[in-house]
Amino acid sequence: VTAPRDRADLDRVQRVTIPAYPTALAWSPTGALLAVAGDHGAVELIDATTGTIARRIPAHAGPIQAMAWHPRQPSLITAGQDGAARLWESPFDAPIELLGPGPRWADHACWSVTGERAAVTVGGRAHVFSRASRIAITPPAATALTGAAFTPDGAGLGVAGYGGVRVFDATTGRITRTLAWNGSLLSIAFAPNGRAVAGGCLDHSVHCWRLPSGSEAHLGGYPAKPRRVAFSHDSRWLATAGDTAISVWPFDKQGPSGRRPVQLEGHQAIVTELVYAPGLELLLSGDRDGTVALWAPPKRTTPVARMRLAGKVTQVAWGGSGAGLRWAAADEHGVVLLGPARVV
Amino acid sequence: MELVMPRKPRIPVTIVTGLLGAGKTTLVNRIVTAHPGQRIAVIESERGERAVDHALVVRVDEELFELSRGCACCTVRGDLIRVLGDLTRRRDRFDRIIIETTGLADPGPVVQTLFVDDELQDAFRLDGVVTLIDAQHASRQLASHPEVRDQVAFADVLVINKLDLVDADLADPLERRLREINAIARVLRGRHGDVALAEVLEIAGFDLGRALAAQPSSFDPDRAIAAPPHDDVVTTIGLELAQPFDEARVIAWLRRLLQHRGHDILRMRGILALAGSARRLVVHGVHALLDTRLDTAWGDQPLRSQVVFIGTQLDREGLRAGLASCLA
Repeated sequence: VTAPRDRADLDRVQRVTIPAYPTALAWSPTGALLAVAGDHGAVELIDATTGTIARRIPAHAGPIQAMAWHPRQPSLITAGQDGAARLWESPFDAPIELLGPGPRWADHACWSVTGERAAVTVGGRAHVFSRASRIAITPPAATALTGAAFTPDGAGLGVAGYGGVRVFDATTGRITRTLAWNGSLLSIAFAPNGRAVAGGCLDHSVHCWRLPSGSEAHLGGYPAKPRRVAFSHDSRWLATAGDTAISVWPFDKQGPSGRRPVQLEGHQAIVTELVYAPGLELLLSGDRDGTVALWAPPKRTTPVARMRLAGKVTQVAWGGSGAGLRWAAADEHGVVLLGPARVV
Repeated sequence: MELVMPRKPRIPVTIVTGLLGAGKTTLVNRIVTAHPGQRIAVIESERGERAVDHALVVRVDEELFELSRGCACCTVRGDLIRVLGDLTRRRDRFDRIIIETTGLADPGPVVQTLFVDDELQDAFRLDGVVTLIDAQHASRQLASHPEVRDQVAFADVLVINKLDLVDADLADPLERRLREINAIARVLRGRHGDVALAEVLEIAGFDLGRALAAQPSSFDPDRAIAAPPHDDVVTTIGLELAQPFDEARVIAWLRRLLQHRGHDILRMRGILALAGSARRLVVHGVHALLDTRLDTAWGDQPLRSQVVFIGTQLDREGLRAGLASCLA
């Protein structure tokens, strides 16, 4: 994959409207299908070639909280406010019930990098699965988990919540690392090289730890909650939402403490969503007023491309790779924009 | 020129508190049943008997977080930040949210949560805190449970419930006792939560002045506020000032006051007249947090500022002098 120049583009934009508030967005591994989960409890599968809804999967009773594609296979995990977690395998007819309905919401779902394991959080616990079998369950946290992500080597599962990050052995559920912080984390992201973990915080800040040392950095000054944070593919940069400008913090050997972030200017409203493209220095972002922007940080600090949705951007996502790289963004009215991204 | 986006009306939130057995669930079910056409979400911390199927019932564990924002530190309900946030991420808008707390819960963090979180402030407004009092056990509970005192102090509406189970002449002394703690709450009497729902809902806009006028004793400057026998006696102090305030000065003063005395001041509410403004300034404080907004115009009504403090160790003259220093 060539490093992007200034002339990346959001090409041949297609527009699809789903009859729901989009709560999660995920591309199939090849980029052929875009799954859009909604508050109507269904997953709409959009054919990326035709830009039409190819299939509707009635997945949950009540809104879907989280959804994640297997990184290599056409199978999908959904988690819902009905408390259930389900594994859907192509052709998506009947699910494998990972967790049955219950009084607590199932909030987060993720796969390990290789797809060997998946995890779902319900309240203060995370459940780890290997295909359809549950192999581990973490001891309950006092408060609900706000995010879960596997360590890049797949051996550990990190969870975020009040009081910091905890890392569990993904096969036994035993705690292996406590990264304590006196505050409430809203999300969790590992650097792809495994040398750092970060999360947005309730008190309008971002907290990060270098690994394995555990040394901390606290990044403040956000006017809103920087819920979304994303590491670049080379683990050298951390992009954070929570302001009209996206802050991209240096994460080289010195770390971000006491340094200034690269500021990406181009949104007029608070940025709520952002995600790095796989293997590329390309960032996709969305804000509260419906602007979607493509960036090539840190070199270029103005948008490479911009697009408008009518309502608050609820989700942005990258899919596929190389020449098949695709992007998508959805707003609160159910309007979904998607298309290939041309990197010149 | 800035383009101002029309704001969606905020969803009213009613907080229902009271000890176990005071009748919270019955009242909540009545509210839901009486509004079949409305989308209501009930957030409950204890499993209640729900005879209603058109409301969304969300069960939560009360998660108390310390949150520091700027110079104000406060305790919030993390579960509510999450769940209320998720309830905004759907197409079907709710007409009302009811939060039913556990029996011993302090309503402070619930109210503070609605005040301190910017996303929730955009989407929700506190309609009122409704506290149910079990007439049978109230006197004992007020003495034995400081939580009950806080629930009374925080209330916009006090429902003295289960009056059918007590002697008729007990109601008046109980109401007087509750009024000593909270002189501005609307007091209703009921048997099985059978109070007029119109008196319980849509009370955010209720007239502070009228509530105060109905309680002249709380306003009588000659009435000696006896030195509290204990530091933790909760009282109401109401102040009235005839001249208009300087907006910036009075907001700064109130903010400073709450930051320094936020531990003692449970709630503060006020309607202020401002120099050079035809509109009322509505101020609302919860511990260290202050919310201010410009409200309706005074019109023909006489400009008259009223501020009420509910809390412990309140110094009437000190508060009056402080406010008076902010007059225009």
